[in-house]
Amino acid sequence: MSDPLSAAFRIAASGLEAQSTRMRVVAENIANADSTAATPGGDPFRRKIVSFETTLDRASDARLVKIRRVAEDERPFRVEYDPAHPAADDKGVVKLPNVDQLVELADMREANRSYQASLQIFRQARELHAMTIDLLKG
Amino acid sequence: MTDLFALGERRLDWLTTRQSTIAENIANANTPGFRPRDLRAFVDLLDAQPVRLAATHPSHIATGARDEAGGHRAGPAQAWETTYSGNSVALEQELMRASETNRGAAVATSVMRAFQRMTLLNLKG
Amino acid sequence: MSIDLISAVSGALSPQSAAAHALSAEARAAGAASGAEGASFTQVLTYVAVSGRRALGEAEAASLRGLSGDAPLHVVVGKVMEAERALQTAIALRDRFVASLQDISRMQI
Repeated sequence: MSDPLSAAFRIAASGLEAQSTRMRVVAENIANADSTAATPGGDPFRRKIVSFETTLDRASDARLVKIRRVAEDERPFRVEYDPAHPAADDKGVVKLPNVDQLVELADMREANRSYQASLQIFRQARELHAMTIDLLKG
Repeated sequence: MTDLFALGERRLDWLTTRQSTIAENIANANTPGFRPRDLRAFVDLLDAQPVRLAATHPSHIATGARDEAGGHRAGPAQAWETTYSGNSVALEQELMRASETNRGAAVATSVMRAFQRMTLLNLKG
Repeated sequence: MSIDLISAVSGALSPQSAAAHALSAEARAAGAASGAEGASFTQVLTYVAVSGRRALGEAEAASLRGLSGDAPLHVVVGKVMEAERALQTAIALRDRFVASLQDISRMQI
């Protein structure tokens, strides 16, 4: 790398952005964990998942990260028998989002850990930068 | 190497390169197929001639490091790197390495600043 | 500028010129052309002036690249520190040279 220190800032920033997006998606899943369909027998909220990919930064030859896409989780919906429910079909079955709150909470914690780690790198790169500049001070 | 300042600069080059390698490992902790990297020990590199590593893995992109004139030199950056044997990134380990790197930079910069000050004083005296 | 040269020059300027040998080796390495054995003061002055000018030029170029974001910070800082040392060396030698000339002018003939 021609300038590894400034690359480190860019890399850490890409990490922060990717994990932020991940947290936003998880939060959306949690918020919609019980969102059923508007019409009887219709599909409810479908869980969303993010996938990461490495992207090469031309300027610095650095391996940044980015969210490749936000996709829908194709796993089947949960079902409950509740004929009184407005979204129940003609058999009285309600489809519920394929969201597991515990899984989402764990994912949120992991995303936060990764976010904090990139943030720590950002701070340390800043420190390294300051130490180098200080060489020129009397 | 008798020139302390040149050695200090090489040390800072190594330290900043290592810091950005660690940043890559952390940022890509959730990227499938990502291979975390580290640099070879600094002392091992002091006598090493720059060598162009063959691309042994698809993730090893064979680009050379740029020297100051903007040209490419036979990649010492690749020659510095090794690959972990494990296939996952342990955030805590990476953060520990990052701390270690910053401590190394504190030592290097302190030493360089002290010797600069002493050299200038010696000349003024 | 390496510490070796600076200490050799400082040593040569002191009354006990035991570093003259080291000094002559450096001056020869600098390619100073002279028929005489060992380094003359002129050779040393020339070497210092030339390398001082070069160090300043390199520091300027590195700083410009640093300002436009092209050069790594530690390289810019390193070049500037080097220029500081070269400049200080040149000043020290100039001052000693001037002092020697003054001493000479006060000598009884």
